Amino acid sequence: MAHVPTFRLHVVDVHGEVYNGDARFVAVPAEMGEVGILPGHAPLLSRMRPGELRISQGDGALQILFLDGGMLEVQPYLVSILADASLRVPDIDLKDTEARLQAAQRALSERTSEMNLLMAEQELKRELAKIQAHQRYQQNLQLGKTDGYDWRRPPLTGIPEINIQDLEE
Amino acid sequence: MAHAKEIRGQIKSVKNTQKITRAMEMVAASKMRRAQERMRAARPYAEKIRKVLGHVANAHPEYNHPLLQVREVKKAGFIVVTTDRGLCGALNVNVLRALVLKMREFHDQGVAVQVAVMGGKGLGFIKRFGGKLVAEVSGLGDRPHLADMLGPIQVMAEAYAKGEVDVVYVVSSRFINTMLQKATVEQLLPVEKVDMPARQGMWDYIYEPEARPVLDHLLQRYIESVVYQGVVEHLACEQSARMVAMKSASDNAKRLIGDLQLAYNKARQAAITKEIAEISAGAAAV
Repeated sequence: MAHVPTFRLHVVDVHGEVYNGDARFVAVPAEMGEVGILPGHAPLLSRMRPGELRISQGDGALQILFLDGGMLEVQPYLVSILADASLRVPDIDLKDTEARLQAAQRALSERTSEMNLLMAEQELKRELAKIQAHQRYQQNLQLGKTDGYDWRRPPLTGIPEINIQDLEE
Repeated sequence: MAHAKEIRGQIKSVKNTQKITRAMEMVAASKMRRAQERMRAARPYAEKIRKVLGHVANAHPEYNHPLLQVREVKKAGFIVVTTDRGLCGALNVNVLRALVLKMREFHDQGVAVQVAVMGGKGLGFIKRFGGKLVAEVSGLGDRPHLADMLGPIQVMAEAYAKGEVDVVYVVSSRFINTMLQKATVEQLLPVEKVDMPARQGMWDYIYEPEARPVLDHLLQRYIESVVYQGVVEHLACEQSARMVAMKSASDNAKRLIGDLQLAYNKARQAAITKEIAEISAGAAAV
């Protein structure tokens, strides 16, 4: 097989590192619509909306996860994604999502305060995106396509483990 | 030589102190583990956003964001992170010393300084030491929420945007390991450039939807994340510094008890010997 060009992809959220490695292609839920990025993309800075992130890894394997908004920075061979939160698609709790969706809709119809309205709107977008992502997951399951849904958060590293017993002599 | 009974009282009081320090050591040890986890989890995001903004500082944006303007330093601002409670070794002292050194440096250059403080210990210090205090927040607890610390952050960011300060530093401690914490002074604003040898010359991002909201959003997140990271890291430092301090206090108490026990035994033996000598002297006299 011919050499496939790749770029470095680094995804972090506020709870740690999510993905750090090579990728051939990544589809990002940017604010103005989904953006597909291949190696050598022009510098881009964008906000993200809640939605699915699809990574085609350096070895061709697919990774899919749900991101809850954040920032996207693209340099020609380095893509950085600063997500506010991330979630495995199979872990989306539909019951919880429905409940939040209804709560948000209620808040929107009651029109309490400006602040609440903004928050409810965001919540609404997020929960709708979650439901969409989950529906797509179900469809793929029925088609027998389970690729990419087994993403695991890499273990936290950086600081050596400290054994308290050592300190107690 | 002191009376045996007095020494016994002393031993008892040292033992009580030891019980307290040991309990505090255990509490700090268990809190430390959780604090370290929180810190470790927050680190990649903080480091990444700093790097991204370093790239942004290299670009030549069509829109010059107020928080990205670099000016000559005539006035400086500090955000100082300290603990609320004491008994944690030299942690706060080191941070405040780093602050004072930097303040003195600015003072010598004729640069005016203002300070925003997080944590009760720093607040007390600035009040005693003097200095322009513009914002403070204390009582953040073990699980700090970003919403609680937004006050000082916003004050400093606004002061920078308005040109009331030309540089903002965060003074806090960096967690190296349980035994070692280092006081650091980090520049928050203006954002420091990251060297990008691969890209030279004029270039700019494509912004979606537009430069201004995107940069606003990014800078807001950046400042929040750096300060949050500072606070979380400082908490981990606090717990481990306290654990180590309390451990050495317990060890000292143990040594002290040993010494006192020896003195007590000697005093008791001396009293018995004296009594026997008196009795036998009395018997001899009869």
